[in-house]
Order: sequence, then structure tokens, then C-alpha cells
Amino acid sequence: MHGLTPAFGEMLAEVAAVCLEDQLHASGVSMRVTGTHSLSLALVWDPTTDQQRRNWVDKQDATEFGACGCAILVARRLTGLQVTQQSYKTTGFDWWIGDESTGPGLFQDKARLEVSGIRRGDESDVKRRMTLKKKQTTQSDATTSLPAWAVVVEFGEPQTRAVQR
Amino acid sequence: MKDAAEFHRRAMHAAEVAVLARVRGNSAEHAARMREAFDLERHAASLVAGSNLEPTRSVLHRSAASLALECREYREAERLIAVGLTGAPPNEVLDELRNLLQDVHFHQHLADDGLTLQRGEFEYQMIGAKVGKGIAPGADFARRFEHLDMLIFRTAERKSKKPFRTQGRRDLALQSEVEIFVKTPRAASFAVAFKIGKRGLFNEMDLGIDVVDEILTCFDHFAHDDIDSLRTRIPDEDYFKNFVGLARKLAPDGKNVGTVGLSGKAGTGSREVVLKPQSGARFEVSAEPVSSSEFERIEVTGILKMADSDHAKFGLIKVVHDDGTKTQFRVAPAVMSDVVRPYFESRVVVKGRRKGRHFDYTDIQAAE
Repeated sequence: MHGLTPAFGEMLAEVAAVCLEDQLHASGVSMRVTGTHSLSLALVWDPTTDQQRRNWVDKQDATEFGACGCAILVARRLTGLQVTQQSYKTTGFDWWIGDESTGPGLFQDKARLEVSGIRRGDESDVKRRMTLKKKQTTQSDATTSLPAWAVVVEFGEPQTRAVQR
Repeated sequence: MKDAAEFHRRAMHAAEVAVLARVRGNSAEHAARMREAFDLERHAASLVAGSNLEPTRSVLHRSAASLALECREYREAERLIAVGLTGAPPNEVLDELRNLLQDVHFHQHLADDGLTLQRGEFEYQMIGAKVGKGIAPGADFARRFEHLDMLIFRTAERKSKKPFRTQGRRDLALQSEVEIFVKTPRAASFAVAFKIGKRGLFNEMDLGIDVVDEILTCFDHFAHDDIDSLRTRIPDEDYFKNFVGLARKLAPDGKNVGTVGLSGKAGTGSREVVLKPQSGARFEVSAEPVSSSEFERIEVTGILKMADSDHAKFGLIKVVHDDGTKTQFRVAPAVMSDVVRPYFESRVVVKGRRKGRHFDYTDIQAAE
């Protein structure tokens, strides 16, 4: 992916695997995707090592990065678009998806990918988090709003809710 | 633009390396790479500062300011945000720049050396639309102070292994162990420092130190929505619900107060916890655990007229609406006295869950 280095992509995949194994899932588990689209995706990964698991003892960090790893792949599957840019926020990276063509500016004609992760929750936790995400991204006048996908990844089931705004 | 894109690409690469270094526990590498990312991103932003290419211009400035904050370059972060705010950023980025400026000011005040906190002391700071430099709405602060006092005492009771007290007065001996001393409020946005300990003693305040450590740790879990860790920390269900209920009252309301910060000496080092309006969103206190498919969420406004805490399993409150009709809620006993009672006879908004003919309280706030 243009906006993601291989090393960072590997890290996101690694931490997603740590989160899934923490919830006792094995490679091949189905992830239910709801929201703008409904489908099921098989998640496949290499088993994690002790060292990798020890790297990710901070649950908050791991859940957010793991959710980013899943959300980037789900968004690509749903939209055909890839992460082409990123910017920095105090909470981590801000991902932008689009096609590879270079427009007049770095973030023109791109959609934001708003990601949130839940290590273990139920349907109501996912919906509540999505409501919060949507509130965060729809406070503005629609005419000047940036296009965005809000994606909530929950590792307990696992499931992903992805909504386009 | 081509140059800006290249500097931005290099900046994000350095930021990725910094994050990887942090994850691997290499803090020196993390700091060096963050600094490199900041310098590169600041340069990228400067190359588009005079253009009207949005959202590129504002996003690059927000990104550079966020990196400046990571590097504790508060003045530079402030300057980058100011440049980002000019022009015509999309509304989302405008909101983010404003929120970032609040964060920058919050951290700047924490870094000020106007107040040195000792163990057993902590500071509670509010920033928001209706909070000025050294000024806060009196009623809002008074209620927050009341809830903070309750939270401190409940934490002391829990740390002293006392069973949860649903009624009766505070133990006077324990009260003297964790008496609160308010240090001079200082102009931050609005910040007050508390000292917890025995009157007249200036060291060996073991329980006070324990209580401050515990409060900061529990708020950290709350701020990160980390239910598992908070439940492990507070295994008793009543104490858990009580903490969550009070923490919600001390968190920002998103209207008058946008950010709340707690800082103090915990363990051997300093700790800072930042609460945003969405902090603790996963935590909910209700009288009855109900699975998500079995209830609907409701919100009612009216006067909190009657509070009854005699029932062993749950308390009862009634909200009298403007048209005279009433809604009765069941309330978890753990929050009845500390969280709900201070609103008695006030106009309130009560949030809850409805299951059949039962209404279960989940949150309360003063109506505007």
C-alpha cells in the first residue's frame, strides 16, 4: 500500500493477530462485517510468538493498532480503495483512503478512515462506539464535511461495523 | 506541492519508526524519531502555509502540531495550530485543531513549574468553553468538588477493606486519615490541587498516598475504556459501580467543560490522566444487568422529586415532568447516595434503559 510502509503494515498485522488470539480465536476464523455492507471474511495469520505477545501487554495500544490493521483490510475489501496517505494525531495515525492517482494536494479526493477498536464487547458496545464515532465526524455542516468511513472492530466475536458517511 | 509531499512522506516514515521503537521499548529511539518526524512535518506544513489547498494545508498543520505536542514543543504546537486555523479548513479539521489547542494548553499548564506536587497530592484541572483562566462556573465546580470528595472517601474505605457503606455516616477516624486540604487554586484554565492526609502531618501519610495512587490508576483505566483492568482493580461490584458513577460526574460534559486532567505522584513517578467527553463510554451503571437486545434507551427531563433508598436491591427515584406526569427509575444502591442524591429537587436529565414497565437509571446530569 502506498501510504503504509511494509514494516508498519507487518506490525499492524502482528498486533491484530495478538488481539484475536487473546480472544481465543485461531487463524481462519470468520469476521462478521455489518453496516453499509454485510458479509463475512476469513481472517488468516501466522501464529504469534511469546515475544510478540509480550510486546503488546498494553491492551489499549494493542486494541487500537489491531483494529487499524483489520479496518484497513476491510475498507479495501469494501471500497477497493487503499490507504494512500496518513497524517499524525495525538491518538496515533489518521488514515486516508483513495486511489493511487496523485491529485493537486496530498489529501484531496481522499476519504478518511476513522477506526475504533474494542477488545471484547457485545453488539450494543459496537453500536454505541459507532454512534460516538459518527458524532465525532458529523458535527459539521454537511456541505464542507470530508468524506469518511467509520469502522469499529470488535475482537471478541470477532466483528466489524463499517459505515460510510 | 511535490516538495511538501516528499517531506510529509519522510515525516510519516519517521513517525512510523518512532511508534515501532516505542512498541519495542526503545524510548531513546522513539524520542529521536519523533523529533525527526516533527521537524520534517513542520517543514512540509510551511511549504503549503500560503496556499489555499484544503484539506492539505490544515491537515499538515494539525499533523505537525500533534508531533510538536509529542515532543513537548508546546509553543511551536500553538503556533502551528494558529496557522492551521487561518484560511478555510473543513469543519472536522477545524474542530480537531481547536481540541488540539486545548490539549496543548493543558499539557503546557502541567509543565509549568508554578506548583510542585508531592506524593499524596494531586491536581484536578478543567478546560472548556465556560471555563476561563482561573475561573469556573461556581455551581459546576461545587458539584464536582462534592463528587471528588465522595470519590476520595470511597477509595479510602475500599483501600481500608471496609464493606461498601450504603447508609450511615462516615467513619470519623478514617475521615481524619484522608482529610482533604485544598491548595491555592491556580490559573491554568481552572486547576485545584488537593492534599490528602492527616491534619498537621507533612510526611508518612500512607493512606493518603495510597488513595492518590489508586484514584489515578483507576481513572487511567476509565479514560482508556479498559473495563477488564478496572474490574480487576475494583472487584467489589458496589465499589465498582460507585467509582464509575462518580467518575462520570467528574469527566467533561462536552458543553461547559471539554477536558479534565488529573495529575499527581503515583508510585515512584508522576502520572497524568486526560479525560475527554467520550472517556469511559463503555462503562455503564444500572440496577439490573440486561442483555443489549432486551431494552430501549430513554432520556427524560424533569424535577428529581423523591429519592428512596430503603429497598435492599435498588433505590427508587422519580422524575416529575413539566406536565406533572412522573417516571420512576430503579437505581443501583452504589450510586444512590453519592451520585444521585446531590441532584435532589433539581431539574435534571436522567438517562436509562427501559425494559417492559421497568426503567433502570444509567446516568444523571443537571438540565440546562
